[in-house]
Amino acid sequence: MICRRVMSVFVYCILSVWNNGIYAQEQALGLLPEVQKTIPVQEGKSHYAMCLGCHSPGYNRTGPKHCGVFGRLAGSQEGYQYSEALITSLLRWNRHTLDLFLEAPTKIVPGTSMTFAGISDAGVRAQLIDYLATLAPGHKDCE
Amino acid sequence: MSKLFSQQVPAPSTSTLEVPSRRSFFRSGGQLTLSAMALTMLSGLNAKVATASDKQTMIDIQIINTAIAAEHEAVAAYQLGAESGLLSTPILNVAVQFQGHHKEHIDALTKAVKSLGAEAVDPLAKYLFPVEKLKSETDVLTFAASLERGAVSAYAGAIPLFEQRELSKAAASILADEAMHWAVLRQALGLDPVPGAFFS
Ligand code: HEC
Repeated sequence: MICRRVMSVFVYCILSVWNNGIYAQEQALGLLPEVQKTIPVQEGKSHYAMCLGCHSPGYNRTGPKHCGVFGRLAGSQEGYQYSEALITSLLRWNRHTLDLFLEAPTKIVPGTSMTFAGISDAGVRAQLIDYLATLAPGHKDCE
Repeated sequence: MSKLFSQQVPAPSTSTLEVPSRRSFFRSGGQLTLSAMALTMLSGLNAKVATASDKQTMIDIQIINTAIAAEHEAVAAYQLGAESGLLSTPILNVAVQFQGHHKEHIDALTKAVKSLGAEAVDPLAKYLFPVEKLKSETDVLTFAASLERGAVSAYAGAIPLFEQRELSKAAASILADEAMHWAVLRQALGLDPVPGAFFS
């Protein structure tokens, strides 16, 4: 029992540190969907209300859907018409690039059609990214 | 024009707006005043465009077109709600009225984009909505409320980006309208209509 709790705190700490790094390697290891589910994402999900004017996790709207966004090349969601600017940005979405983009989309990708000033609070961005990272196929918000 | 848009539900007569609880404020001619105001704000832009650089004008055009895309979606979403058969008459009347506001936003924003020398984006041929999840009036209201809440953020996020302050002002007047929609929908859902002091 105690052992299990210590273990989960340990895992959580490891993940928190890990989260601050860049995610390409995790993606390569194929660990991402599993580990991400263990991070509390309620706050991130509530911040996602800010995005719901243009996005939904499971389907393309004014903005592209977010399910599977983590690890994906920017501008690569099928069936969505992206701006040239985002496609040619050649960004790959990981914690770092999402953080930069969400802080000031039009500064990081001049010409993007995500004409949204951005989120200045780094904590809010981090929580949003935690939530985005859980949006893998199979997540109930992706149905 | 998609099929979705071909059948518009009839406009409500103001006398049938009897949504439970404090709803009287949307009986007023508020929406008329709003769009008239927005148009006044948007007029006279041509003179200023001359001073804006092409790049800055392009940014303004892009912001407005993203807003138009979202407004088209809102019109389609209300159409879906109105045709769902799930809404009681008073709620249906509110939905149709709000849909009318979104159409007025599109008109005003289209004029603005044209005054900047560009064309407005067309509505999509088809909108993907989570229809299978809309099984009751509450579901439809919750869905509409989430779109209106999102629209408030979308305008709040756009306002600081406009090169021309007149456009920020016009966008703020639309934001105010969408925030009212959100509050009314929350009230109809039995939720606190204004759940906080700040929204971004
Ligand atoms: C005003 C509408 C709008 C709002 C609000 C908005 N977005 Fe976007 N978003 C877009 C559009 C449009 C695109 C496509 C951009 C392009 O093609 O340049 C996009 C693209 C993105 C992408 C890139 C996805 C991909 O497939 O490459 C991410 C990530 C993203 N948005 C996250 C968010 C998050 C998180 C929020 C909420 C904080 C948000 N957006 C709010 C409209 C919006």
